[in-house]
Amino acid sequence: MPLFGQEPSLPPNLEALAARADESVRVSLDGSLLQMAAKMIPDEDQHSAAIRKIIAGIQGIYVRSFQFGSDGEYSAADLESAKAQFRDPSWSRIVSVQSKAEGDCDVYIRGAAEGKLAGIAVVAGEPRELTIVRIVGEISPEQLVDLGGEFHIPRLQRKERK
Amino acid sequence: MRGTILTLLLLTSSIASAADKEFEQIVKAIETQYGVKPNHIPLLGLGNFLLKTAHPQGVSGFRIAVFENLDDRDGGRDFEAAMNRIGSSSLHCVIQVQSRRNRESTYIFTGNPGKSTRLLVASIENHEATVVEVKADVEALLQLLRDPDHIGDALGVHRQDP
Repeated sequence: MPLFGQEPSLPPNLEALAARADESVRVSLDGSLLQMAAKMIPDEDQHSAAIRKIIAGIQGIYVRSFQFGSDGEYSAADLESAKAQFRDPSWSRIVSVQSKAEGDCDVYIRGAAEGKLAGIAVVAGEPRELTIVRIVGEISPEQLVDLGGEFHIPRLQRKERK
Repeated sequence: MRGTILTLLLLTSSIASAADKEFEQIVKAIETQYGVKPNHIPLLGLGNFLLKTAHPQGVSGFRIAVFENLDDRDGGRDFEAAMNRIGSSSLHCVIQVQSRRNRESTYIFTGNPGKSTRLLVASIENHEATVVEVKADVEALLQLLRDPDHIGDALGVHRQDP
C-alpha cells in the first residue's frame, strides 16, 4: 500500500511477517500530519510540551511492528535483515543491547551538516515482538526516549548515571 | 456562456468525485468480496444534505456504510488485498492495524492537511465492517478527535439515552 510520505520499504522477508503475526501495525506520518498531530497534544504537563517541541523538528515517523503469539516466530535472519537497512555509511549504530531474556535493541543515528542529526532508527527484537522505527528529522537520542510510547514507538529507558 | 458554466460545473464535479472515490471503492470491495449490501441508515441522506449546506462545527460531509453478517472464511485476507489497492495522490493510509488475534483490521486514511481535509476509516471485525468518511476543516477535525463523545453533535445526530 502506498503510505504517506517517504516511507521506507521493508525487505520482502519482513513484509511476509505480517501474515504470521498476531498483530501488525504500520504507522506512516509525514511532517504536515505530524504538525497536525502536535495540535492534538494537550498543553497539560511538561511531557506533553516536550513531545510538541520534538515533533516540531521532525519530518516523518515510520513504524512497523509485528507481535507474535509465541517465541521463535521470526528468525535471526529476519532480525539481521531489519538491522541491515541501517548498515550503510550514513547511519551509525550508537546503542546495541543484547539480552537473552528481553531480546535485542539497536539504536542508529544519521548525521547531517553542522553536527546535527538527520534521523534516528530503532530495531527492537523481543522474543514475541519485532519493531522497526525510523524517524526523519532533527531528534536526539534523549528526545527519542521522550517519544517512547507515542506513535507505537517502543519505550526506551534512560540509564541513570552513578 | 451558460454552456461554458455548465461544462465547468460538470468538470469540477467530476474532478471532485474522482478525488473522493476511495469511499466507494472500499464499499464496493466489501460488497463484492463478502456478498453483502450496507445496512440502510434512516435519514442519512437528509443529514448529509444539512451538513453540506450548514457546515455545523466545520464538518462539510459525512458518509458511513455499515455491513453485517460478513462471510469471513478467508480471515480478512481478501479485505486486506482490496485495501492495498486503495490510495491515491489525495488520500494516504497513515495507520494500518491488523490483528489476527481479534480478527480485526483497521485502516485510517487522511487527505493532505490544508484548510480542510478528509478522514476515512475502514474497519472489519469478525462479521461486521464499517466505513466512515468525514470531510471537515482541520480545526473541526482536531476538535472531533479530541472530543469524540461529541461527534454526534457535530454531525447533527443526537444520542437517545434509554
